[in-house]
Amino acid sequence: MAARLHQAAAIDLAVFDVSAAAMARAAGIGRPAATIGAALRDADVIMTMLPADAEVAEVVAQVREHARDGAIFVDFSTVHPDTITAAAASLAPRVAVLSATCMKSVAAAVSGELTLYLGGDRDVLSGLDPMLAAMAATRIDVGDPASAKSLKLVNNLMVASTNLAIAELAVIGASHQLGYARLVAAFERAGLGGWALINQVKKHTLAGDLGPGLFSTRYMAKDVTLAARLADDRHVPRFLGGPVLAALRGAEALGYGDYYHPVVIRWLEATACVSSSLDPADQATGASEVAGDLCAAMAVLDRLIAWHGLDLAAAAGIPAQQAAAALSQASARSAAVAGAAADPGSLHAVGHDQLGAALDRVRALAISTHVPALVIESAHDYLAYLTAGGRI
Amino acid sequence: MKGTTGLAVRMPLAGQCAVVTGGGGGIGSAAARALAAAGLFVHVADYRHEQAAAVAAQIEAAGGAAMPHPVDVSSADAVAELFRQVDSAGHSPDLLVNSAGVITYGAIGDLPLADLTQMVDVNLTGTFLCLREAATRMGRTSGGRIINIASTASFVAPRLLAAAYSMTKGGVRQLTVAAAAELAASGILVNAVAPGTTRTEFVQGSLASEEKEAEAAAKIPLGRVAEPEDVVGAILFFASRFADYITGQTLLVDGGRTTRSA
Repeated sequence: MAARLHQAAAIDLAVFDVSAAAMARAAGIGRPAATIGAALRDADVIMTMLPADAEVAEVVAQVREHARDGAIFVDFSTVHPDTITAAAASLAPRVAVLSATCMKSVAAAVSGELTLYLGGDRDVLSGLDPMLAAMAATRIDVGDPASAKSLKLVNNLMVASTNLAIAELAVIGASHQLGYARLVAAFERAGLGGWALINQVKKHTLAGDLGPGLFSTRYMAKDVTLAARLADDRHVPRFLGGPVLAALRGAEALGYGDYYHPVVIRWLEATACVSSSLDPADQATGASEVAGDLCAAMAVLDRLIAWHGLDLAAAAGIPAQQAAAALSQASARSAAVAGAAADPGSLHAVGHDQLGAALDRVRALAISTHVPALVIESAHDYLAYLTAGGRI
Repeated sequence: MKGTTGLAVRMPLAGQCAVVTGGGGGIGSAAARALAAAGLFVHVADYRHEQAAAVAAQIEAAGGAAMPHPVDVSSADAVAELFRQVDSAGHSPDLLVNSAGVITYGAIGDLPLADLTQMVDVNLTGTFLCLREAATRMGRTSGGRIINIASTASFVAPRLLAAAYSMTKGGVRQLTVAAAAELAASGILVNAVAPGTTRTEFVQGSLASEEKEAEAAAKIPLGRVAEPEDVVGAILFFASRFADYITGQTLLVDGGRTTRSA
């Protein structure tokens, strides 16, 4: 991000990192600062991208000490929304606080094609637009600083949930001699699985390209842990946060911590003793019926994942329709999310009995081949919560 | 600890790390859930991968933190790999609950050698292997707690024909004593919990009907068989600072069954 900013925006850029190796990698990008104080002093705009909440709190204390009056602080870190709210309270009124969260890859950061959720004072934000435009092709104003953090967490929880849902259904299908490629094609034809199906499962899982270098299992576990904490704090069920974290940590235990997070399917295969090398041409009689049941279940899961994400966003103070519109422009997008962006009531269009029946059919498939159905069980629990009056 | 008798002070488990073998079912899963609820990060280890995964998912869904591991505790390599995975997660075990176990019922004369070998391998060797790996790591830090799951069959003849099982659980009780003495200098406390008949997959057959359950309960002064959750209190006690000065002990959790001579 610093390299892109240095290249594309004509600004005087000071760079600081506590890691000497990171500073070495940043050689030639702006002016290296010897200390954080030196980097902060005289800066008009301070941008940070830090690993976790503790580091943000620590840097905010430094900003409070060293930043000049009237400076603007923009934190890009993926952290709990309460952290940025506390930062804004701590730095006001001397320093204006904006919040940004990034989506897409390192390559997109280098090419200035990130998607950003932005929160904070609109006038201050528009003043930074030339800089932000150099970094991000898509910039979505989501309101206050906390909302930018919350929506990123919701987005990543939804993406990880969708990946695990697809993986679980794929492994259940494989245990009934239905190949992954055929199931993914069926999902795609039915418009299921959203962005994750096309850009992660089809592009990476089916191609066996899950190696290190992309957004890792370990990083996703960190984000989903934060999302689960947000759910706890706002009194919303964790829903798929439970199985997703179990799967991510299970994959990490098997040595996949640095692999692309859709690698959870390898953990599921190991857990279910199902081979991933099933020949897609080797379909058993009845595979079409199995595919039909799995598509019906995926439609339910798409709907529930959207429902839960919007419920969590609403509990975090972001109206469902606004959240759906923002999520539709990021990796959580799916037909269900897009439908909710147009009409949040669309998620309620199917009765709970019908949703539960579709899940039951796949639960029976899983039981018959002794494959774990963590997502299906969790979805049943969530449906029960909704039936008992859970809100959106 | 003088003057610090408050429960919160004596149960400071939050932030610690536990490894629970046999964590996918029965007493192990109840212990895993209770430890997670007490704030520990729980490594749920079980040879039944899918059950370890399900328990980890339940823990995470309930607001705890857990990592599932597939492991056959009778294999030294698999146990070493389990603890390598714990290391890789950046954790050092503060607590080990050795709950993995198997049972085959049958008269001494009828028991197949393979079943005897399996019970020795899992119940006895497995407990030793996990204890050794955990103790090695605890010895490098400030110590830790190891809680073995023994049985009333460690003390008295089992209710049903299970002499070989009883032999292995007697061994677990004695391992607890010997390991406690050896590891005390490293700050590692080793204790055991000895449940009586507990409603787990172990005894499902013997509790399959109301009559059978009534028959089992009639031999227990408290008048019922134990639920897995009944055993958890003793595990939490040994994990807590209430047990700071207790090592090498086996606590019977049997509703009073062993108070009777028959």
